[in-house]
Amino acid sequence: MSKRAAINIIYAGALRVALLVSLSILAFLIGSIIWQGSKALSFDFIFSDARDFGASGGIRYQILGSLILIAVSALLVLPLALGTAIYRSEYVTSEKLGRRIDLAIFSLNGIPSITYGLFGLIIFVNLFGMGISWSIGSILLAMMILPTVTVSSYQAMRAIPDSYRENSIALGLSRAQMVRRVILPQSLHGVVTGLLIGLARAIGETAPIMFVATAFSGVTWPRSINEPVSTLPTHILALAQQATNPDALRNAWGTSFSLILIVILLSTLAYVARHKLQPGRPQ
Amino acid sequence: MPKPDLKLVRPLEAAPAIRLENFQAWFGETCVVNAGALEVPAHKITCLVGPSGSGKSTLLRSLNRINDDISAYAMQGKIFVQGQCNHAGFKDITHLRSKVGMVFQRPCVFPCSIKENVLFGVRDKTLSKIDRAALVEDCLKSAALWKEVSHRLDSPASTLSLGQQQRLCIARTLAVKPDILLLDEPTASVDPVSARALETVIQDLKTRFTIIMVTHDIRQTKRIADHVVFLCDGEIIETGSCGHMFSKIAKPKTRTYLSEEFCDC
Ligand SMILES: Nc1ncnc2c1ncn2[C@@H]1O[C@H](COP(=O)(O)OP(=O)(O)OP(=O)(O)O)[C@@H](O)[C@H]1O
Ligand SMILES: [Mg+2]
Repeated sequence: MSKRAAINIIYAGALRVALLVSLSILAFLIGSIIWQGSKALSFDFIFSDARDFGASGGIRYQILGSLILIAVSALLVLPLALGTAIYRSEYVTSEKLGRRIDLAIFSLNGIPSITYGLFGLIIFVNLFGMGISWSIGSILLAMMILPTVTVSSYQAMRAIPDSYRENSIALGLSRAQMVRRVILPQSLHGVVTGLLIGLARAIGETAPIMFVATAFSGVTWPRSINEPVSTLPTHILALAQQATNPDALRNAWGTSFSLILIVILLSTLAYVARHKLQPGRPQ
Repeated sequence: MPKPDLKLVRPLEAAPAIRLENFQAWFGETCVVNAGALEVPAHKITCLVGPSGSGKSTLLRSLNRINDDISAYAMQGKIFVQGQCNHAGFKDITHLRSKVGMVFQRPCVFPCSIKENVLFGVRDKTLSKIDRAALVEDCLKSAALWKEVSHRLDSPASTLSLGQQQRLCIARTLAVKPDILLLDEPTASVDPVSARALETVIQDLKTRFTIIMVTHDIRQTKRIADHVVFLCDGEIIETGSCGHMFSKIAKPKTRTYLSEEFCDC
């Protein structure tokens, strides 16, 4: 066997090992969550209130809190992300300005999530005196996923052939009409996918919301915009801190399992959206 | 109220549909068109011919200001569309573009039905359903597409053949009711038979529209042009009636190019 063939075999082997290691880590993680989590998961667990700081009872208000947080952050992020993406894609003619906007978006993406939490604490809670409230959490999560949604929408817009733009403005459509009738429908898949992926990430975040939006016990559903909620990730955190209590630990696994299920659901929807909403293009 | 007959309203010897004064087009530092003065007669087919890269598309795209979206593009001089400056004379750019319609080299239909494609640029919200249907039929007939698609107006436009798509693009442009039609190599991406069909369509349209058409096909020019503008390296070498441009009294450069010999102007 030549030296080259040997190198090829070793190389291919190394790649396989790398793949295998990554896959087994994933399988181990998901497997252990399913294994441990399924012991706790039941109809009752999902639909009842938490008791004894979560050690007994269920997680219905945690699920509700998480869903409220991401639903409202979706409403907040969508106009901002769409506006930025449309502006960047259809209105910026100067290369230099375009590069600056890109840089800003990518820097925003690079900010560690705990920084958002601190920012929220300093600005909204301390400076504005808003108190701990779920609405701040939604704002912070929206800020955090803004780059994801923007970039995904923007890339879908850039992928639209310029001939669509030329043909629609040649018919006398104004730029705004072109955006509404050509650009938006043609980039819907990117917008929806970006949003769902962003939300899948947001729902698992602890750091941005733990100081400003959540309480660890005694919360039900919020009655005003100025109330804390409890969420799945912060509930897991609280339960994991009582690790000596086997009931609390079991419920921590159960909560993780529920969270993972929601994330998988969102990611699957994102995948479906990417393929189902993808517009047909000429040639 | 009956619509006034357009033919009666029009003056007998029509003013030029388009007039250029000292027109120059620039991309960055390079001047790609230096046209000087040019008049395009109304209700005639004017063919813009010349070698590749001579600035035909740039000139054409300057008329309805499609080039304005390219950041490197700049123009000098003036363009008058039906006597009105194409910058100051129109209340906004969309108005100019609905007066000066354009069909591009590659057909590009929107991902919706044939009918919706025809109505894509129609802004008039007051049109009734019946009026719309009549408009669709009228435009598709003018573009010689009605017979082929009348039974499937609601099927996706992308199911049409390329030649049919190009005629759909023409129909879509007609629906906006322009006065001037700019055609950039409309027959370039279709087969010779469809190209001949398109030529017939274009010839039928000249009674109602002023047509300016870029083409690389000299024989096509000879067949359908009333008026020829020969462009080389951004300069207008010669303009004149089709008969003049293809005759012996045309300038040598024009003669060489139009006789399809090698030209190194
Ligand atoms: N967007 C642009 N940016 C920079 N230069 C351009 C741009 N578009 C065209 N040009 C240049 O302008 C000149 C004229 O181009 P144009 O497309 O008008 O030629 P044309 O006569 O239409 O050629 P063809 O017959 O091949 O279509 C060319 O040298 C071309 O490289
Ligand atoms: Mg061209």
